[in-house]
Amino acid sequence: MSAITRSLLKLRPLGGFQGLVGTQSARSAGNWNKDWKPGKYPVTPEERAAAARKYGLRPDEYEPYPDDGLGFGDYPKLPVVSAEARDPYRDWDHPEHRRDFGEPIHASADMYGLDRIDDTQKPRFSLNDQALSFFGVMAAFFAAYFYLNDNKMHWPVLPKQYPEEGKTHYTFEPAE
Amino acid sequence: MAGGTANVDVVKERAAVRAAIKKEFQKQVTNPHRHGSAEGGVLFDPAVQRFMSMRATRYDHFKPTPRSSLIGIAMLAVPILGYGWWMKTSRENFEAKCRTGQVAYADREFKFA
Repeated sequence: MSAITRSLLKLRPLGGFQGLVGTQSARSAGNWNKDWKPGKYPVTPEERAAAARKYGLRPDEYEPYPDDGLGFGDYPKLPVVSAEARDPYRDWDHPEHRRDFGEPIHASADMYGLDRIDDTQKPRFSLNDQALSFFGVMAAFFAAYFYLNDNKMHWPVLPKQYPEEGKTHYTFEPAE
Repeated sequence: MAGGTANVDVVKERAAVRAAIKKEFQKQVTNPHRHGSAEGGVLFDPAVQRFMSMRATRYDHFKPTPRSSLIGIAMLAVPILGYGWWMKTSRENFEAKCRTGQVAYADREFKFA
């Protein structure tokens, strides 16, 4: 681990491996949430710059979520790009996620994985087309059901002639 | 990563940093002496760790504002309590109707046998 930090101190301080400076050798006590969780919402420009550096972003492209009670502290608000929308032929470090090592992860990234939704691209069929197709087909099925339900069609038949006391259905007289 | 700027220098700088991180990743992932890091062979990624810790500690940044409280009530309290109330009252009304004779046994939906 220390080999990584030594080799990376040559890099500009822009996050990524820089975060490993805090971790020591294999004998460390592990990675605790209290060390890696996002900090308070940054207010002053210095706090914002420090937070941007921590997440590996430039200060001018760092933007935290608004602090309205449903925010994430100083976690950056990254532009959401679904995994499916990313170049499938690029040389990713983790091709199953289409993500490079050290790339900051979007706050809702598990929703935008390869097996989940992708609403960051232009949809193949517009929402209007989708709605029209669905409701059109369902309306056709409902119309067919309600029409045929009240107009049952079958061969012309008479009521079944069950034997009962006092009822004569057939008298066997010869045809004249 | 972030969109919006067409500044060539910025793009180049970002690409250089990305390339350096990529090169270092390949070096560490193929490092034959890394087996003793007690991490199961997976190279520790600070971005992933920060994401997981953020997910685990979201409540630290929660504040009960009118909007957040309304969302909680509308999405949690109202459906759960409303469904329970509807179940109770609908069954109670049906039971009362059956017991006071307003619904004959032949007409009820759920018979006993």
